[in-house]
Amino acid sequence: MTEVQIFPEKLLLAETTKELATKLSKINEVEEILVHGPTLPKKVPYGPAKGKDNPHSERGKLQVRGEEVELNVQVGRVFVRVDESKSSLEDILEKLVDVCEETISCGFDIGQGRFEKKESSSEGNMGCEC
Amino acid sequence: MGYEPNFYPGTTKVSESRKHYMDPEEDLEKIREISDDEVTRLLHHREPGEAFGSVHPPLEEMDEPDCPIRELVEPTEGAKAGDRIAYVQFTDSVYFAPTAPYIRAWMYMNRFRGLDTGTLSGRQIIEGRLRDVEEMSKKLLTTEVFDPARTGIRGATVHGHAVRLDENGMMFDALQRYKFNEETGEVEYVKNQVGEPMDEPVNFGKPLSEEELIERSPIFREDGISFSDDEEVVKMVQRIHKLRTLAGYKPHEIEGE
Repeated sequence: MTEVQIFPEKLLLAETTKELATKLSKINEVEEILVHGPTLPKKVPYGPAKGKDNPHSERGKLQVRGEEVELNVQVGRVFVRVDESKSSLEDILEKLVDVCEETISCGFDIGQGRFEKKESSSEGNMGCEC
Repeated sequence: MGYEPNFYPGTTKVSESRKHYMDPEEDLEKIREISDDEVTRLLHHREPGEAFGSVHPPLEEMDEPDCPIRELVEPTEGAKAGDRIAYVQFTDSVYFAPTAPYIRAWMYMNRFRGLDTGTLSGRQIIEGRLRDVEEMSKKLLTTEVFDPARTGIRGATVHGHAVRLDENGMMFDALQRYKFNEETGEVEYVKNQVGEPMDEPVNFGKPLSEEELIERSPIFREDGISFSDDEEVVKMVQRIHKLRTLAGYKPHEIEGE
């Protein structure tokens, strides 16, 4: 299992994320896309306005392979799991870079590595809502 | 010759900027107009036109005990009127915001009266009498210490000061209190400081350019002016560190320092 991280210099706007996710999902070797970034809560979490609705234009819906997925973060990293049995990692990276260059308006880093946890750990049971 | 405070050591632009903010004799440059009512709406403590809430009668009507300190210190307008305590809080991005939380603390203490301020990593609160807080807020919102893209008025949910800017160059705000208008290039506040939508947006104009921000910012950064570039600042910080390490709260007891 090979993972690739796309790390833009700036947080992506919802429009960019939608476009990026749609284009990435069209690459054959892409098996999974995970977007990561600070949360955009649906309700105001603290203060005198706690519990009130929190309209936010950067929240939205992603279209991935015909399915609609909720976008509740402002994306700062994208992890992509790719299947190396279909083509070489260099070819896959080239495709990913092309998509990123077309979509992301700022600079970005891209690299292969291990980003997801291999096994569950006690941290996963702590109920952290961050 | 009288004593002239230096306010901050160093000769770099960052040091000069810190001195400028801390020196009460130097005026802060006014760069935008915001009305009193707009400030009131942003702070959310009262409606525009509504009376100031109070916690005691005006001082003139109170029978205060004899006290030399009361005679010595002129009360602020808010204290005279018996206003309740209110707050305003600002978040400053680490990406060359025009000011930074700890600089704000020094600046407030030198420039304003009748306030209590608290510094946290990414935000700075002012507590004071309501009308004093409104007056201070207006100065802080209309002058060079506020940039609509890199500074935020955030009473709660302040997270964002150390997060990357977005593609429009705006500091992250989970409550999206302000929006970048792509057509005009200006920033509008659409929610008050606690995240409640406002009936009318408040226009803060265009954000400063990166070059202007680097010119004004009192933040040492490796990609701007590095802390280690300012010999006098490094010397002062090392001296404080040394005295504190060797002598705790009694640096005067160290001989030869």
